[in-house]
Amino acid sequence: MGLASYVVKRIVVAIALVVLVATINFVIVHLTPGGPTTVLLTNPRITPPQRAQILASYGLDKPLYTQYVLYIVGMFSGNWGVSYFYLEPAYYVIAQRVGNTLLLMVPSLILTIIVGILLGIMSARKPFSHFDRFVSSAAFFFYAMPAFWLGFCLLTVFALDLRMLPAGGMTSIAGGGSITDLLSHLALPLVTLVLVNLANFSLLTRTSMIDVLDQNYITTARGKGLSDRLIFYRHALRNALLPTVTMTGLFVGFLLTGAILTESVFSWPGLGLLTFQSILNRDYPVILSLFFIFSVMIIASNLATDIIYGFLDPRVSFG
Amino acid sequence: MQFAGARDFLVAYSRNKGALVGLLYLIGLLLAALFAGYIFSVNPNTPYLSRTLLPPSLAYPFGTDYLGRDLLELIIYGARTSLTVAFGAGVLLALIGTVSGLVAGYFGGEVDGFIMRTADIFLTLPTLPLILLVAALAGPSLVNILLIIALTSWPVMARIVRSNVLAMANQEFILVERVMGASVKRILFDHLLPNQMSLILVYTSLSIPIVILTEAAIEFLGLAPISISWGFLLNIALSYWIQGAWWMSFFPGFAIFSTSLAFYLISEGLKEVLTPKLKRKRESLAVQLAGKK
Amino acid sequence: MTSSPDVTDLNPIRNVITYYVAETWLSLVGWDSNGSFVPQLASSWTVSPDGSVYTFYLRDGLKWSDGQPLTSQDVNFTAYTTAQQSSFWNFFEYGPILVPDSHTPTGYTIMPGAITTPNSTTVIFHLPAPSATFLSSGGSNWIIPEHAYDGFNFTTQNPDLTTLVGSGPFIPRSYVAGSELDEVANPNYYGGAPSFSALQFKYFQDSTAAELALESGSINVLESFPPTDAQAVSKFPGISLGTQEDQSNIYLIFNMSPKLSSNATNPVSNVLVRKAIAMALDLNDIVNSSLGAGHYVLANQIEVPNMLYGGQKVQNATIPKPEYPYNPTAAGTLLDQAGFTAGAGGTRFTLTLVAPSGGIGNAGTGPTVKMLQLIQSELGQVGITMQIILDDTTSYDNAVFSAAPPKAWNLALGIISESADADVGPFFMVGSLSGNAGAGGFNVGTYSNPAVNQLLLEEENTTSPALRIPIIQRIDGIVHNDLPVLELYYQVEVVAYSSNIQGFQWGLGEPGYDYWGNLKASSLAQVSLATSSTSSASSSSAAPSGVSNYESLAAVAVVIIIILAAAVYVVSKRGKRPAQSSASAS
Repeated sequence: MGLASYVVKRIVVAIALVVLVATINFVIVHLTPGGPTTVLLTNPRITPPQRAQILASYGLDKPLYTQYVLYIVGMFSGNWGVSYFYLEPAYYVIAQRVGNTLLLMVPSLILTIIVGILLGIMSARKPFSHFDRFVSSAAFFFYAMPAFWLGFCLLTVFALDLRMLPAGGMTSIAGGGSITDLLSHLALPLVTLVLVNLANFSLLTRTSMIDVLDQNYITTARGKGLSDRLIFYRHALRNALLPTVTMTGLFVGFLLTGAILTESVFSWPGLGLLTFQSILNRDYPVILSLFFIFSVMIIASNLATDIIYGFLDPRVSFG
Repeated sequence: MQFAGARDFLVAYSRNKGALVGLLYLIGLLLAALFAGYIFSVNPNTPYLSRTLLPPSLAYPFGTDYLGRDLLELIIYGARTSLTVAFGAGVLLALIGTVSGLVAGYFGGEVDGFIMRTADIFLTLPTLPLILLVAALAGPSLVNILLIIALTSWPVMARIVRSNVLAMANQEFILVERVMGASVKRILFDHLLPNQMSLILVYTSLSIPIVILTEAAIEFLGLAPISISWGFLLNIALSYWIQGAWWMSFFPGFAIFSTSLAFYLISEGLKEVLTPKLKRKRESLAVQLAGKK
Repeated sequence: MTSSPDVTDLNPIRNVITYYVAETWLSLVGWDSNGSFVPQLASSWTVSPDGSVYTFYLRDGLKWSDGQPLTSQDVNFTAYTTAQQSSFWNFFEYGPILVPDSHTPTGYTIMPGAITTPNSTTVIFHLPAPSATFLSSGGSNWIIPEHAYDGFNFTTQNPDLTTLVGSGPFIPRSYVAGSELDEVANPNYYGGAPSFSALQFKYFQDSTAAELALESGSINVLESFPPTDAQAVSKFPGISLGTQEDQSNIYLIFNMSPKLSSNATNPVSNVLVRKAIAMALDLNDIVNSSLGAGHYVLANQIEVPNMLYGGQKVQNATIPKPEYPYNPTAAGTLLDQAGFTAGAGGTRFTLTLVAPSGGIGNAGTGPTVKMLQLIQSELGQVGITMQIILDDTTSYDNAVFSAAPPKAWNLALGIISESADADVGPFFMVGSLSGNAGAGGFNVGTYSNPAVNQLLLEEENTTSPALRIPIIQRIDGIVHNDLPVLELYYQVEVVAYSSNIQGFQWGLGEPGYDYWGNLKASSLAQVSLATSSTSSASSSSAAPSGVSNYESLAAVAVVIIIILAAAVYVVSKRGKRPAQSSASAS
């Protein structure tokens, strides 16, 4: 087996997993009390002809099996149904907010990885030094911190007491869509998300680095007379990055969870907030679409990291 | 790793100062929560309208809340909810995870595949949204929350146990037992399980911070019943934030934070003491991964 | 009725009132803040002496936002469309002239000949029987354009926003679901083109975020935030406050069924128990401590104190305030009389109360929970254990309104807004005609008293205000003795706005009925308003229309690349240091 067939196999498995997860979501939504029909038809004054019309327009008059098939096909083909709450296509409702969440998530992912790796490397260069101890303690500190509390404290200090930064939302009318305005709104939620997730990365990198530094080939390389710095960065880094890459895959799931809480505290109009709102509104098409997106993101990033891992680690062979 | 006795264990454990602090904090909190009725008033719910929203002072170290209740008292009583959910979910996920890991690792083959695929599915479910959805559908109740959190956290434990069982299943003493015709149950529970205990302890305590944070998040978002729980206090604190009552949001949040930190420190301490260095290196990656969700 | 928590629904025919629809399409008559009728699309109207013929004269030169003339045909079209497509509003608006028709989605249509349009500016409604209330129902319905929506199916779709045609001062143009609605000025508005070009409604779920947004200038007007925050908000620089006694009552609803849906006995179905509960609560104290002294005034009847009808006050002055004075001892006696003696531990029985988790009305979660917990504590002192259940909006609506009787709860916290007609409130709360006490009705406690129903019918058919008011007051007297609901307080609305805005004019009840067309802002090209309905702790705001998301993403990426480059540079410099560094490595 080579790389190509490995990749193909993994992709097939990934798709199967997506279908499985989507099925579970469907089952939860349709078979618990308070399911879609109850939500749509709460107004008892709805007359029978209107009832039939409403159910038909949502495809709820078909047998459950047909609905399931349409749902699975629809999820993959982008036909996500109509939001019960907004009477607009669920796709449209989500598309309006996706950009906002990406705006928050992508920079925080990048920043977390970069700063986390840097901190990890710097700690590993001098293990148990003051710097290392400080960083490790800080990592512990932020790992245990509830994201919404941290966000709240930052809000209190910077928005309420110091009035330096806005108290939430994404833009102001006065700012009029300018970059500085956006950045000032982005600052606090970004900092919150990064701080909370930084712990994992720096600790992980540090541990992997320390492990690697003990291994034989590093000693050999030293013996060959290569400069300290060169050894460090080229050999050690490359091998220590492997677990980091794996972590990034898991991280996407982590970020999604963080998104809901951070967006809540900072009034950031993204997918996390939409998830929470649509759960409260029992807006099932939107809920199911969002869950689909989330699982695809998680599975896809796991898949990507598996493949990249295989690429990077010469010890892995496919077969 | 064996210890001559509990004293030996405590000495080794206490070498990690952080872990010691965590343990002392937890014991202190447990005792305070248990005996809250004796230390403070019996019914923390009594409103005292003459002393609402007082900032922290000598009389009220954490200030008073919107009903005039002593916030310190509320937080100690609130520890009951959090510790119950923490231990309850922790025990539950340890149980489910251990049993599935044991079974998967020992029997291998189809059974293993099935259990691990199920675990994979649970791992790829977006946990918080799913928890919120089920909490909203099933109605607010602490038992529901406990169950949901445990159900989404067991896969990691199962994986750890399974890989350990796999490593051990081929060792001599197991093979000997098999040849001698010992029953599966005996092998599983009398031989394999005891050797997992250290691992189970470490990873359970590692998972508990996440349990605490998730439970607080659910209460904060308003999907849990009214109670004196830290997350619910945070929820109400929002309404009084603009009036400057910072203590109402700071202290409950701080309680959540310090309790989850305590468990984390304890798990680090246990890890150092219970797992031998060699194994620790090989599993360093797994350890890190296990704690992150 | 719980207010809609979001800009959910730009659909004039579907069953939910929204704040913003009211400003997009106007009605024949409007309401001012005292409940009096004012001309809107109709410049005048006449009612025949017997009250069965209503004639409306439209203003001259009315135009829709797309320039087409607004005529009596549109009024006719609106009536038919509502009758045929809105199963919720058709009875409320056009009840007297509805007839069954199996071909329409709702099964109803307008009685032939009931509406005549002799010319393009006159509409005549011929009612089969006299009605005193048609002005506040059919006369207050939003008129939609026939030329734009003929044949449109409102049951399953919303009209397209980008081409929306309306008659109000501002027309919606774009909408981010759940967070923002952008409107543009309508130059064809009959009151003259508005003084600024755009209106932006931002929806915040968290009142605190909205308040801070007001302070920082992100928004210019904030309405519907908790009055308990008013003092803090008034300290913001450049912000003015206005208050208005809202026409909304907050009350405790008693479930009148002898048993709950769980088959448990329902103690509050016994009138002695209800009176005991009323006497066990020091309402003045409770309301003032939770909601702020002076902001809320204790209600004691179904109408709010300053409600006028035909220029006269409706409230019955003979009913004492408060209805049942605070007297826990007497409460205990009544409970004993009712057969609920205290058991071991002092508990007589347990009750469940359902309330919305976002707070009731504009009070916010904190003050609402505080009020409920104070009630809980005082009831505890007479031996009643009350369990508070905070439900999210959907669950609350289901449990309180939609569920078929017998309901699952003993008590519910509710709010009802007045309308321009004095009998709407009473009818909604205590009338059991037309299924109002069944599933989906407003009389959620299922109180049914034939005497009350009789009086309500009588009142509907009486056209003279002078004769209607005494009838309503008699209803109040009966209700005062039966106590199907316990009035807690009526709301005070607060609005905060930047001081360079003038002309803010209150409407009746819901904030959305306020009149935005009259706002003048001296230095603003557009105005941003927010309304916060305090749901549980999360927030929402707007997407920018200026810079696109991807440009912003690119800008942020550039910043990060700069940080990265700097970091790499810093780290590489550290490695260059001589022998010391390798010696210090352990």
